[in-house]
Amino acid sequence: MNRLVILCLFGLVAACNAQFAAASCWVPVPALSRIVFSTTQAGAPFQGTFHDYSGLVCMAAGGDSHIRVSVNTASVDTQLPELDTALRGPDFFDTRRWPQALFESEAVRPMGQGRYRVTGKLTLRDVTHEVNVPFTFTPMTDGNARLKGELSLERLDYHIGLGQWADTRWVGNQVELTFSIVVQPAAGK
Amino acid sequence: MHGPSQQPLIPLANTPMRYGIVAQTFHWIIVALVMLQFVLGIWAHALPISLERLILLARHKSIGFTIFGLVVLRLGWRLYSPPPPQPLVPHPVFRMAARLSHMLLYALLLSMPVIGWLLSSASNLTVSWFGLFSLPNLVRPDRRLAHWLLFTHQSMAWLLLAVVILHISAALWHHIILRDDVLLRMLPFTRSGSRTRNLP
Ligand code: HEM
Ligand code: HEM
Repeated sequence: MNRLVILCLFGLVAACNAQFAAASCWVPVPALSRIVFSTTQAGAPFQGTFHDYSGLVCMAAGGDSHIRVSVNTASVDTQLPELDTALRGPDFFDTRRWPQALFESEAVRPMGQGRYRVTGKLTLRDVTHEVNVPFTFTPMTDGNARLKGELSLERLDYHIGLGQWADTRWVGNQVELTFSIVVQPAAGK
Repeated sequence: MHGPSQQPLIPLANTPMRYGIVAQTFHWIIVALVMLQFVLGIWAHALPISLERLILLARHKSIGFTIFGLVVLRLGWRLYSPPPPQPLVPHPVFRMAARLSHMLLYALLLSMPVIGWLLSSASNLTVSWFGLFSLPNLVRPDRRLAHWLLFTHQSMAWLLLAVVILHISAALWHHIILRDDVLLRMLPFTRSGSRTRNLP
């Protein structure tokens, strides 16, 4: 398997893709991808996105799959510049102290028909919790693949929203993270 | 002429002499809510991003839509039960001014909530009515549009304030200078017809 990864890194893309049974590693193409968070403000739905992230997705038929995603929290975008500034500040992501949010998988279980379930550690600020994320991994005809899924979490578990913002009546605690990430073969430019 | 004793109760509907209970209730509830809108709007505007600002603006938006709904009902009632005829005034131009300013008041009370709704939509903030239901977004988030809509909303607020001040001055002018019934006929607990001098 490791040899295949190395082959991939050397750019033998076709071999990687054809050999889907073995591990094939992929990296996100942010321009074609979306990571959206949805919650509520004052009882109404509210959404924002993250623009900047990197990661490595290695899919293998055996138990060797591995996913690692790192999100640059300063890239948060709610289309409200003042709010984005507040979200980068100490009460929310505190991007100066913790510039990255990290997801690191521990186990990826295939569920059949391109569906998977990954368990892993999600770290926001300095808080880490285990999460369980179902997703689909769909190879596309252009040689890329799409990762799609959704994760539900409670922001206060991760200390997102301190002080006045701990209020959950006006700022929802429940946050839905939806991702649709196009990945291309690693080092396959 | 009706004497005071013949009108012990204010009628529900408008009469040729005065506004009835329904029109008066609409008028004064909307006055109270509009005053609240100014307090909430200006207060929120002065605050930086904070939970307090979020709450004030949520109330401001819910009350704004309430005003819109009440004004629609009020205009419906006005069609069903026409207001008393305009009083005699020293010059026909005042009649025109009264009619125009009332139209302008209604127009502002209906359009300000719509501009506010557009402003919220353009700011990527969906509006909820007192947390009970959400209103659809009218436009996609657009920073420049939001900026322009905020300016429009503010300008309309100052125009509304100016017209209201004119409106109050006119009511006091009728009451104090012309000494007619115009203010009394919009007030509960007063007897219209007690000052009949200038009525047609
Ligand atoms: C008749 C109804 C309304 C009146 C009289 C009114 C009046 C005002 C006033 C006086 C301000 C403060 C402007 C300033 O200080 O510069 C304001 C701000 C605002 N209003 Fe309204 N408003 C009404 C309805 C609405 C509605 C229905 C919404 C939204 C759905 C809304 C959204 C806003 C927003 C977002 C602000 C700006 C806050 C900021 O400065 O960022 N308003 N309004
Ligand atoms: C936010 C403030 C106010 C608004 C938006 C407002 C709006 C209106 C409107 C639209 C009318 C026309 C009613 C019709 O359809 O016939 C009206 C009538 C009237 N308003 Fe106001 N009003 C306000 C405040 C006041 C205040 C503070 C007073 C008293 C000092 C007042 C006294 C009157 C009187 C006496 C009439 C009856 C005019 C007539 O008989 O032709 N209003 N008001």
